[in-house]
Amino acid sequence: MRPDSVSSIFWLIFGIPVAFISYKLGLGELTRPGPGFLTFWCGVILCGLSVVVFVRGRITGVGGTAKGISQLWIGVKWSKALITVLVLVAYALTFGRVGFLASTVVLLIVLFRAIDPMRWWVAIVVGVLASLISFVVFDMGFQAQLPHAYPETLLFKLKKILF
Amino acid sequence: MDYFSQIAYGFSIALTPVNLGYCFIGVFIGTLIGVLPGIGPVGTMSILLPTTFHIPPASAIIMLAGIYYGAMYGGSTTSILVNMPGEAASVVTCLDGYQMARQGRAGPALGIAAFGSFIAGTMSIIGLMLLAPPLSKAALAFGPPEYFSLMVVGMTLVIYLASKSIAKALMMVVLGLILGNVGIDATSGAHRFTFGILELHDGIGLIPMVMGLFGISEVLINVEQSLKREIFTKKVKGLLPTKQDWKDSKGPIARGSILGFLLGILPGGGAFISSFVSYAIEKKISKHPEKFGKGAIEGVAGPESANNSATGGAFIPLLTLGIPSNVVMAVLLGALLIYGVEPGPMMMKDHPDIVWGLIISMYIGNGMLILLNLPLIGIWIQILRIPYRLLFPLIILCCLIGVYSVNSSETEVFIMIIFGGVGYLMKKFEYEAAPMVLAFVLGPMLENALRQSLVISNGSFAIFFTRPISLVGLSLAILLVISPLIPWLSKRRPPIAED
Repeated sequence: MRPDSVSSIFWLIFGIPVAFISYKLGLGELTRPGPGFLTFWCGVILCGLSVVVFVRGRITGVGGTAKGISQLWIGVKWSKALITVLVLVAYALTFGRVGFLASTVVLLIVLFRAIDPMRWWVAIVVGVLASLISFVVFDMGFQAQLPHAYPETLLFKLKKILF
Repeated sequence: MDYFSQIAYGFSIALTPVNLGYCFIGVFIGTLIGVLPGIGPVGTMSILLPTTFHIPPASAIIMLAGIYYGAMYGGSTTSILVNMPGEAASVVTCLDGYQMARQGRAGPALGIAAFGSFIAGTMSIIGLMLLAPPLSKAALAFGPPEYFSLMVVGMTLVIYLASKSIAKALMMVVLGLILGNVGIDATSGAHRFTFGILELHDGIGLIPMVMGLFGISEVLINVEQSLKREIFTKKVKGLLPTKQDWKDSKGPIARGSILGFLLGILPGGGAFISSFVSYAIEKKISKHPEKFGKGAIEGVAGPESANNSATGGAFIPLLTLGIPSNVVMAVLLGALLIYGVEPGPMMMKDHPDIVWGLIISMYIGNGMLILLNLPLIGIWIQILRIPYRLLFPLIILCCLIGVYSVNSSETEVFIMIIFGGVGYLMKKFEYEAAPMVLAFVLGPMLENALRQSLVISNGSFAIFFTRPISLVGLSLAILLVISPLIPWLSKRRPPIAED
C-alpha cells in the first residue's frame, strides 16, 4: 500500500472522533458559535481531505515518492530511532522518582553506547560531566526545578559548605 | 515619543551591558546551531525559552532574536565547507558555496556570505525601523474580521507554498487548528479534548510540541542514517573577497536584500523561500547562467543576503499585527505571551523597550556576527568536527531539560516524545510540520476573531466581504486556493519555508 493511502486512512480515523466530540461539545448558533464549532468543521475537512488524498493515490497513482510503505525504511537503520524513543520513554517514566542526575547519567551512557557505540570510558565521562554541568547550570543556576533525589541534595549541601 | 527619540531610547536599552551580553549569547548560540547540522533555530529557541523566564522580557527577546538571525549566518559555513546545510535557509548555498570550496575558494565564499549577510541584515533592520511604526498605527483600525482574514491569508500562503502536496499542507493546517483549540474554551468554559488530563486544561504547550516536532524528530531521522562528511578545512584562506568578487556580488546582494525583506514580511514567507527565489532570479538574469552550480559567487551572495534580510522583514507582522509570519516568529509570539506581552498594534506604545531595544540590538548583533564569523572562522571549523554520535544525546538532554523546566511536568515530557514520534512519521510520510505549528499558534486567535465577527454581524458571514481589508485578504486567499487549477500560476509555485 502506498504511504499516502496509509496516512490518509489514519487521518480519517483521527478526524471522525474529532468531528463527533466537537458536535457533542455544541456547535451553537451562527450568531453565537459554540465551543465545538471550529473544531467540528476542522474534523469534517480533515476527513474530506483524507478521502481526497486516498482516492487521488488510488486513481492517479500519485502519493508520495515511495511506492510502498516498507520503502520508507529501506536503507536506514530504523532500529536506532526506535531504541532512542524507547530509551526516552523509559527515562520519562523514571526520572521523576530516581532524580535527575542518576537517570540522566544512565540515559546518556545508554545513548552513547547503544546508537553509535563510543568507548565505555568516553561514554561514562561525557555522560557524568554533561549531567552534572546541566544540573548546575539549569537547576542551581536558572532554578529549573529538576527532580531531586539523594545526589542532588548532596550537591546542594556541598554548595552550602563551599559558598 | 518622536522617531529619533525612539531610536535613541532603543540604543539606551540595547547598549546596557546586560543586553549586550544577551545579544552576544544569542548570536553566538545562533551561529553555533547554524554551524551544527541537526538542530535549527526553532528547536534552540524552544530549548532556551525556559531559561529566559527569570530575565526581563526585552533581554529575553533580544537573545532569542539573536539566535534566529545568528543561525542564518552560521548556516552558510556548513553549507560551504561540508555541503550540508546547517539550517534550512542555507540549502541553496550548498550548490555554489561547496563548489567554490572544492576549487580552493572557501575563503571568499565564506567572506561574501558574511559580508552579504551583514549588508542585507542591516538594510532589513532599516526597513523594519521605517515600516513598523506606520503599520502599527494602521493596524489600530483592524477589527476581528480583518484579523480573521489576515490569519486566513497567512495560513493559505503556507499551504500554497508547501513544497510537496497542497492537500497534505491543508490537512496539517487543519490539524494545527484542532490541536490549537485543545483546552478549556475561554468563552463557554467547556473542556475540549482534555480527556481529564490536567496539563491539557491550558492547551497543548507550544514548547513540548515544537521541541518534539523539530528537535526530537530531527534526531530520530539523523540517528538512523550514517552521515559521512568531507570538510574543507585546510583550504580556508583569504576571507576577503577580491575586487572582481565584489563586482560580481554587489547586484545579487542588493537584489537579495530587497527581495528577502519583502518575502520575509509575507505570512508564510521567510528565509528559506527568499534564498531559493533569490538563487532562481540570479541565475535567470546572469550573463553566465551555466556557471551556477559550478562555483558562481553570485549563487552564494544572493541567497545568503536574502535569507538574512528576511529575518528583519519577518518581525514586521509580529510586532505590528501580532501575527507570526513563520514558525520562528510563532515561537517568539509564544515567548512574548509567556512574558505577559501581547504583540500587536499597541506593542510599540505599551512596550517600547522591547520593540526598540530589539530593533537596535539587531544592528549591534549584525556587527557582532561579522566579528564572530570572519576572524573566528577557525573555531566554527573545529566545532564542525564534533561527531554527531556525541552531539545527539546532548541535543536530547537539552530538549528534556527545556520541556521539563517550563512547568516541572512529566506529562509535557511525554507530549514532547509523542510529537517527536509524530514528527518523525510526518517526515517519512512527507507531511510538513511548519503549516501545523503556524496554525496551532494562530488557532485560538483565529477562533476568537471568527466568533467575535459572527457575534458582531449577527451570524452573517457577509461581514468578511463587506469590509475592504478583509475582502482583499479573503480574495487573495481564495485566489491562492484555486491557483492549482490555473496552470501558469501553479507552475510558479515556490517551495515552503521550514524555518
